[in-house]
Amino acid sequence: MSKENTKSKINFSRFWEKYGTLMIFVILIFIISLLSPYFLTKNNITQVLVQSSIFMIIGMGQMFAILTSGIDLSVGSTMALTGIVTAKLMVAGWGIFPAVIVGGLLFGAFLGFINGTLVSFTKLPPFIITLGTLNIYRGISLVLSEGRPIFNYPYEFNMKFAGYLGEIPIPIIIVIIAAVIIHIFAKYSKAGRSIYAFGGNNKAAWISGVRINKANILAFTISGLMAGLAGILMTARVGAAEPLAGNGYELFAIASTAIGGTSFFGGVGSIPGTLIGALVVGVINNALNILNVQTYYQQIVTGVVIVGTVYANKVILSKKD
Amino acid sequence: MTKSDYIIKAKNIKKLFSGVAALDDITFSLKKGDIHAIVGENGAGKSTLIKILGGIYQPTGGILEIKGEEVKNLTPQKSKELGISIVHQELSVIDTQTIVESFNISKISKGIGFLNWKKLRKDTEIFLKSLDLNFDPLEKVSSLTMGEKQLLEIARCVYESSEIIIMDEPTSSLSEAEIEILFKIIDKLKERNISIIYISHKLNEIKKISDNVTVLRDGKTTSFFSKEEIDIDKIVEKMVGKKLSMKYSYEKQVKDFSNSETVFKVDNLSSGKKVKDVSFYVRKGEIIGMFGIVGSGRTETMRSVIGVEKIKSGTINYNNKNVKFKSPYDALKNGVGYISEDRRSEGLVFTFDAKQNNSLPYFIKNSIKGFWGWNEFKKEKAIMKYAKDLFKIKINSINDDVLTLSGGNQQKIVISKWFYTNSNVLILDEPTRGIDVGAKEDIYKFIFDLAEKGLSIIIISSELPEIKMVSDRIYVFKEGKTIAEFENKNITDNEILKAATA
Repeated sequence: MSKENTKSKINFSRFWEKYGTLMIFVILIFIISLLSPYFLTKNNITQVLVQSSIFMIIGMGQMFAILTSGIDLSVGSTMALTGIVTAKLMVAGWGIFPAVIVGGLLFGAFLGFINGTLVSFTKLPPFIITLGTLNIYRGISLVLSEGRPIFNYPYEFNMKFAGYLGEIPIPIIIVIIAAVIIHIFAKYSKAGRSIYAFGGNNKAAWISGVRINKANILAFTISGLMAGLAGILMTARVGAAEPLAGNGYELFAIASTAIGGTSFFGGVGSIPGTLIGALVVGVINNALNILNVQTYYQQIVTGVVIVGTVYANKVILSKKD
Repeated sequence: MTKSDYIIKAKNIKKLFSGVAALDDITFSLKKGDIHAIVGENGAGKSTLIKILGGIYQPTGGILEIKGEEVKNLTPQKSKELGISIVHQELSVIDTQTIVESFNISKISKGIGFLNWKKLRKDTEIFLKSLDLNFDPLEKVSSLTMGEKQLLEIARCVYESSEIIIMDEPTSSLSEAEIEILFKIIDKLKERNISIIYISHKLNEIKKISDNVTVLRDGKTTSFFSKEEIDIDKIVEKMVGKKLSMKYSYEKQVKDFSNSETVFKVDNLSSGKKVKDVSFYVRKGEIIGMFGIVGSGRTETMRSVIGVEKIKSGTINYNNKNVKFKSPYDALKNGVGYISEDRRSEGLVFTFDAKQNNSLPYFIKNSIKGFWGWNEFKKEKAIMKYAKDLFKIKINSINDDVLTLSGGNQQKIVISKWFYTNSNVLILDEPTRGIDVGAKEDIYKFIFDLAEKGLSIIIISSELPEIKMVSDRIYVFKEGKTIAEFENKNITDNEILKAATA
């Protein structure tokens, strides 16, 4: 093999490491736009972005759990429980914003904090802990709501979180704000650095003075916080807080992070990657709809794309050595 | 010479990483039943060569013949089938297994049906005895020391009837006594006509045991010595490329500390199973050396001091206050740093690049409650550049992955990251294990500079020359106790060794 050849391969690998997910995304869009002229219309693009906004939010949260080399399976249940608590607070007479902040964001963060604390102190695998809380949080949702959706809260709430600001859908604005804050946290804060260090090598991080329990708990708290935010958007979009809302959404969150290049061994992952990963998931769902693919087949395609993209990433990156 | 005399022949082997040559032109041959030493400074290409023989890396060019056949696309499995075993410097043993399980792991993975554990246990025990190793086969691997694991790993290769055993720095984690055991094992292997590739920085050892020596420098073979020709000075000259004497260029001056204040004092410490009664102190600017055989409780002592392991009894006095650190963070915050002997699992975060590793303890110390604050990127770059120059760390850019660096350069980063933490006491556990002479000197010089600045330094080392070379005072550990203390003046090796072993 000639030297130039090897070199260009390596450069491609480097390029792929940074922009691989983006490339897959662009190729995907190209193919779908050939198949359906409707795909790239303004209406549909807005639709895709709104649909993907929840994946992006829970994907960003999930990324932190996976950075610790763990996982958070409870995000779907957390979405339901925070939605119901927020709705109940409003029904009890709370204002929209106090209810959202306490019942959605703080309570979501608290549920994540419980996950993190349990993981940290029992030393059980996060998979087991969050599998447990997945059931517990879902159960509490059902108990609190008596199994029925709650919609007798002020309609204004739905307008505020599923409406438009001028021409721009509010969920998109919320995603952008959340993404900027979370990205800055991950990249520029010491707490973020601590989470990455903990995920990369928890022993070395500990010996170097990193407060690994705090890092671990905070990672899960962020996942819970994001799930709480997603719970609010979901409630507003559906127009009701449903005890079964978000069922199975943990899988979308995990798929988004995986496609976005987050390593399941921990310590590697980025917010831009995760956002694109979530868009890939959103675009596929949308494309299969507008191409009139039967729902049954949609799941099959989604599964193939998840494994395919992650594998493509791995193969191309392994060429680096 | 006939073809079959050589069990391995490598001709003009090349290996490129990201377009950079790790191996440029390596040619060497291993004769059946020989002990062939490969020496070279860190980054000369020894590890890469081993990984090619082990099938982990594919060479970019050149011809590799094993047992007279040219091999292409060697995989770890094929390499094993050809009878090649590697005992890595950084051991890859499965800690949760017992000795008998780890010895029979290939039978476990191959086996269909049931294994006769009673028989395997007996076999393993008899086999270990035949090599003068007295271990209970039912002991968990995790309860062994690094040195014991190393010996067992070598024994395991023999047990699995390997024909070629590659030993990468086998003595770096062994005590003097264990080295003797290893050499006895090597003698027995020679009797069984097993070929050995022996990689070491300890040239005295090489002179003692090897049949011939190949020297590498910058990815090339520079020379070959047969048994009669082996001459340490000449080897060193070929290794570094210029004439240099084996003596360290830096001479330690032992100073008088009788008027210096005591900074750190431990009395009657006991913890875990291995630390029974340890007392020592270190004064401002002083370097104390902790000597003892592997397993004498030195590492465990230091780990309990910094809060990794729980203390049962005893007191720690630091700056005239009784303290008990709850965690490494607590120790760091109070100005006590610990550098682990195990750089792979406790030294580096491999998902971080060089500069991120280098800034980790500094970032934690210079934060709110060890957790909050903004990353100081400018400072991060600056201290990495500073460390690179001060410490002569060979990296292309400060953004290099630490995984691609040689052991010596990795170790330099593991140590340099504590430089900016403003610590008063630094504990270094085997700081120069498995690294070359040049890198060792850089590290010694660095340690002396720190002491000069007023830091109190505690060094654990199993190499007596190193202990004598760096310490002002020496403590000897035996069976979890500090049993002797020496001023490092007019003291003979024998006195220290006697205290440690007799």
